[in-house]
Amino acid sequence: MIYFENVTKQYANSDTFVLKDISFYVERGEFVFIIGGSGAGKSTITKLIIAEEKQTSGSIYVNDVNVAELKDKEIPAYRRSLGIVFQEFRLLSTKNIYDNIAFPLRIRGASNDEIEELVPQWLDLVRMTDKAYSMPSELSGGERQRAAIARAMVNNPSVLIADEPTGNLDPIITAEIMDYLRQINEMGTTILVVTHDPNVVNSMQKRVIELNDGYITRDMQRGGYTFGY
Amino acid sequence: MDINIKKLGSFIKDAFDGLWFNRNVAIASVVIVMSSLCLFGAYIAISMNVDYISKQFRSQYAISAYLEKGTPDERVEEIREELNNISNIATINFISEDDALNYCKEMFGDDADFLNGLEEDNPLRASFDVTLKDLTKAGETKEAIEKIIDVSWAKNNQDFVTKILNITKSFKNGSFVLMLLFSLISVFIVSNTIKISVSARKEDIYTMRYVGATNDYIVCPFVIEGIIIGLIGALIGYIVVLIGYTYCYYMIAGYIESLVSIYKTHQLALLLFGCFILFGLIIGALGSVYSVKRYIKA
Ligand SMILES: Nc1ncnc2c1ncn2[C@@H]1O[C@H](COP(=O)(O)OP(=O)(O)OP(=O)(O)O)[C@@H](O)[C@H]1O
Ligand SMILES: [Mg+2]
Repeated sequence: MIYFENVTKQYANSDTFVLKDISFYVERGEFVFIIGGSGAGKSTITKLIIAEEKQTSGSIYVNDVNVAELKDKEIPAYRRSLGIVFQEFRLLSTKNIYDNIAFPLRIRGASNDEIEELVPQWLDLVRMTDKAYSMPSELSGGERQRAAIARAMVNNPSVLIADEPTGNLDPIITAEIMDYLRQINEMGTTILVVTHDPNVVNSMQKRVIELNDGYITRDMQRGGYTFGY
Repeated sequence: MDINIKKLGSFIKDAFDGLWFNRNVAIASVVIVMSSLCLFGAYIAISMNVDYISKQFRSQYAISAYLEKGTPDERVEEIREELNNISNIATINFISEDDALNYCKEMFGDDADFLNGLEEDNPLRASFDVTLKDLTKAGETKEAIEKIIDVSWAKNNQDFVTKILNITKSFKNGSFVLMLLFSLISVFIVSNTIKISVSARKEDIYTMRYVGATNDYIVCPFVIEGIIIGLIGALIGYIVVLIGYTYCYYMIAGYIESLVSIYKTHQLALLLFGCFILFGLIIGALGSVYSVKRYIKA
């Protein structure tokens, strides 16, 4: 599903390696946390996966796609095969919630019938039906993130990548969002969550990959934020 | 780029979403496009009328250069050649002694009997009637012709015509400079306004890229937004200019109609419409393409 082999990454205008030697393999249906201190390279890993950045060496495969070898023209279609959730929600500010969730379907060229079937279904799943015609700026953080999850999932991607999805949310909303991610995972979607919230990691007891100084220092099948939890 | 009707429909919807979301900036842009087009329209109206007026004077106004009686045909041809070499002469029309007599007869109509019999001993002189390209240089041209043959002025008063033409011409030049200045300024402001609205939405542009939108999907709505702004500005500007022109027409036409006529509103309407739509389209489309391109990587 997701395959990193001896990946290193050095940003263009910098002389240090952010990732020094990263290898891991995520199987279909897994739920994985990526943790580590600020600047450890967690977001860099998500950027490599979504083809926003290229690794300096090593190889990355996602769904058997060699990500670094994608041509510019192939990147949009590749990204549409992933679901992506961001810390800052990143809903399109000019569109209401319904149109935000419909957006990935529209850019894929889905039929109107399909849009009219799937969007209400997802609005319902994330309990946003009442707010379908609200603009993102009129919603709370938790509501925005629920809408963003629906948008990420509406094309039924095999992988959902979330970079600090609860970073801007309070503990109660965080628990709710994590519950959605758990449900989505139970329906079969592989999930990769970057976080530095110990409560989230401890409560879920899922696989944990910990980064430190460019290396993976821990990769546990079921674990907490630190050893012993 | 492969665009079908469904895609186009969704681009247009996206464009209207964007315009509505940024309606204050959109309205400001429309006003700027409109004002610059009003200046552009004023320039077109003035310069069209200046050309129209000079054309009227030109056709009313000719220099007649009279030949000595009995000038031999070869000499007539020589003179025609020499006149041809004067650069400011637009047309040369030779009027023979017989032609001149016939004109007289036509002029007097039924009372022309007294001219009968003059064919035998025609007192009239043959002449070259020349029209000029640039009437404001009539003085110099007359001197040039005088070096060749006798000259007498026909019809209008030269000084007066020259004065009017000079005024209209400097009016035209002045409005050209103003028009150029203001359209440069307005193109600058419009592209900046669009740039501001695009950069306010650069996060949206990045988001669209992250979720896998192709460049068409990102750029086209912005371009359509720009075009809509340009077209609405053009249409409002068009209406303002037509009303303004009609008002000016009724103010001016009464005073000058005995002398010259100027274009009526409907005679300029189509030309102005074409220019406005074109200008609005170009400002809007170029401004937005240029601003959005910077945020698109792959
Ligand atoms: N585009 C870039 N150009 C140069 N350096 C970068 C770039 N993006 C990130 N870095 C650097 O790479 C390192 C890792 O960044 P990254 O964003 O992956 O960290 P992170 O683990 O996500 O941290 P945080 O928890 O604060 O989000 C940091 O030192 C950062 O300054
Ligand atoms: Mg990060």
